[in-house]
Amino acid sequence: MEEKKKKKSSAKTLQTAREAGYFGKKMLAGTRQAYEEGKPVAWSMVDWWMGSTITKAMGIELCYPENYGAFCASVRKAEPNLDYAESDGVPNTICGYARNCIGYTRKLKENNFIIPEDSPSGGMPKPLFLLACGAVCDARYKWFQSLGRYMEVPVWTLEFPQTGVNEYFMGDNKKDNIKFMVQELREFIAFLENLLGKKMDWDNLSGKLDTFFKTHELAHKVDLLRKSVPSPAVCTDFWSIMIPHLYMPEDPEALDFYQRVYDEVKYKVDNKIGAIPNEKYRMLFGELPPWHTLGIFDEFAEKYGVAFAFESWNYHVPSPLPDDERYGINDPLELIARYSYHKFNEHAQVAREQCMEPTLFTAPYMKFVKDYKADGLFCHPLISCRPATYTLMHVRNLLMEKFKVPSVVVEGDIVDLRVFNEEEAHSKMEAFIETMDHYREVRKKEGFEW
Amino acid sequence: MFFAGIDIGSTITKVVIKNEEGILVSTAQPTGAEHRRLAHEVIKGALKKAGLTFDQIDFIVATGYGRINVPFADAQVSEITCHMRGVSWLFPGVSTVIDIGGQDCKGIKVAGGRMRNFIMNDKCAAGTGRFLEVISDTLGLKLEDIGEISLRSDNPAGVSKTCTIFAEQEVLLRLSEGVSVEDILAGLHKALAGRIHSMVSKIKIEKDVVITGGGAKNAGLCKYLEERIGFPVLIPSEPLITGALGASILAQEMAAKTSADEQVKKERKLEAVTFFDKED
Repeated sequence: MEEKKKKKSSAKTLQTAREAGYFGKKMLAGTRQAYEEGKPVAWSMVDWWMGSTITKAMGIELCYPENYGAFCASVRKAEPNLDYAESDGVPNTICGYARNCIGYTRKLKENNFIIPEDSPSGGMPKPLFLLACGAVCDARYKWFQSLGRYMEVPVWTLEFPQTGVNEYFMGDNKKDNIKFMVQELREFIAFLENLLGKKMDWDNLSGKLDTFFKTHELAHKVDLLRKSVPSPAVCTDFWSIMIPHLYMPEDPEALDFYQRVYDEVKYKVDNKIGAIPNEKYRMLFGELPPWHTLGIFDEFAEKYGVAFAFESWNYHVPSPLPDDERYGINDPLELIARYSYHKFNEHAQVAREQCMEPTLFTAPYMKFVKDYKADGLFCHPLISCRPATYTLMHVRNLLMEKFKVPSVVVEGDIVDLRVFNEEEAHSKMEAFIETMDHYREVRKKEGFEW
Repeated sequence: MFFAGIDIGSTITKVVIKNEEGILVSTAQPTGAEHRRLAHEVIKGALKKAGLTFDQIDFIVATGYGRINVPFADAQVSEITCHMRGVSWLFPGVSTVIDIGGQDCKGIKVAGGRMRNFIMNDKCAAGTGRFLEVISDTLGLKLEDIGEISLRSDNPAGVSKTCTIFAEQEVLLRLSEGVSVEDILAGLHKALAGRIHSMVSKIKIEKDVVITGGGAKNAGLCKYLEERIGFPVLIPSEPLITGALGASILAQEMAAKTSADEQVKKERKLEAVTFFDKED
């Protein structure tokens, strides 16, 4: 009996999404080439602080261990790294990105910092320093500290003010936080200048910021277009096209790319072309994806007509900085601070209206559910990620309580295939269709718009 | 017309054959490693019992963990839906179904015979039949006896662990302390009931509650679960077959919607089944 071979990666629905892998390869190849040429290279977290843009403005090539973890998982080559990290005493409840990276780093170190030949996508070269960030996740502090010790390189952490909903609306809170962040950035630049023995090229930074904001603005416009019914793009498209805006938005190629993404999505919206041909249900996905099994979303689309209309708040760009926050600000560091603060607090108003905490990972979904007319939420809690998991259970309860939108929970991991049960996901999804049907009727009776 | 539901669970494979009037036969036998062969054997056995031939069956729905390994099925439906439909047919007033299977445990919320919500354990064996299997092995007892034995206790041992592996170690520790087997089993059943109850509570447990699956055949587990729930629960006379029953009900509904090409389908089904006869 011939088995139908299952495809583990997603085919994606946007042509531009199919092309986005180029940027991941470009990043890694760029750092390897720089390393070979004796130029400075660093590893950075997704920082949302634009610390990476500052670093690049100083002439340092960057690669991103989180992106590398996602890549290793997507080609199903993360397990050897995970095993190697665990054999060094790293618990399997630690972040999948961290374990993949620690396993890789251990191999790199044991190979005298010559990239092991079997490294997926060519691997990451030894960094001159590590750029960490306190935003969003607590595990990342220790992860980069441990990397620093493995490789004996300095770690710089950009601290991030964790503002609560009530605090956000307090008198000078915002002003004080911006002041703190600007000071943090100045110290970071001083660190870089000391490390490289050269001064910051402020014009170069301003030029990069200009491209950065243009790229983000286009990415945001794409997000807005995705509110259309039928959905012009789905989650698997987004998880590809996000690479340029998340990791290299200051690259002119990223800006050109996003113009093409925008044009493609706009064309589909104008012509009412859905990402999937039979859209029957619109779902949200929270929060971090199972990179190793993205093909499962294609199967859900084909089998049940489920379009994942929006997803993963943390990976999306914020709305553009309001004019009154942007104009008249001549210090690029203040502009960066204002934009970063905006990213993490722009949904504070929604949180206040809904009487809820926290804003992070939670309040945005209260908006998404209406904007994207969601029938359900697919929750992907991760044993190895606290911030994106405890908030998910909160979101789940709130969506039901406030909007009569149900959710389905499928546990897994971003990188670790060993804890993801695909059959369980299918069984739950199949049953969940009926649940969504029921709550559609409930919402209709209660006067909801969708 | 005749309709069949086949439920390949992780431990037991069940078949129900029915017609428009009701259930004709039901069978259950252990699930082995070779699902496809077993699916073939078990349907042949059920057909023999019903005095039917394969080509008399108009529609077959497969469900359960091994449903994709039933090559002759006309459709596959998730076990959650099938259990819900089977239980609703038996108990039209059901509101909450608690299905305790060999490898998983489900809570299903039902209203008017339709699913409203569900919850299912994830990758952990705690809260499932597998937990009881491991414990009965550890104690050298038969799985089917441990529920009754637990009812003889009037002083359930304190068991803090619901992890299957840790609980096994705790059982050995309690035995070494001289605690009776009855009290240990009562403590374990109580702990298991607590775990199942807290999971299903997430979808709000409301009357009527029906317990199904292999766990429903364990009197000790049902007693402690009923205590936790706080009101009497219902248990079908054949709690193992509700998934297969639901599948057969869905087969009947799907058959009503099927037209044309029926003969072609039957030929395909026969070919899939006789594949194994050639091997034999």
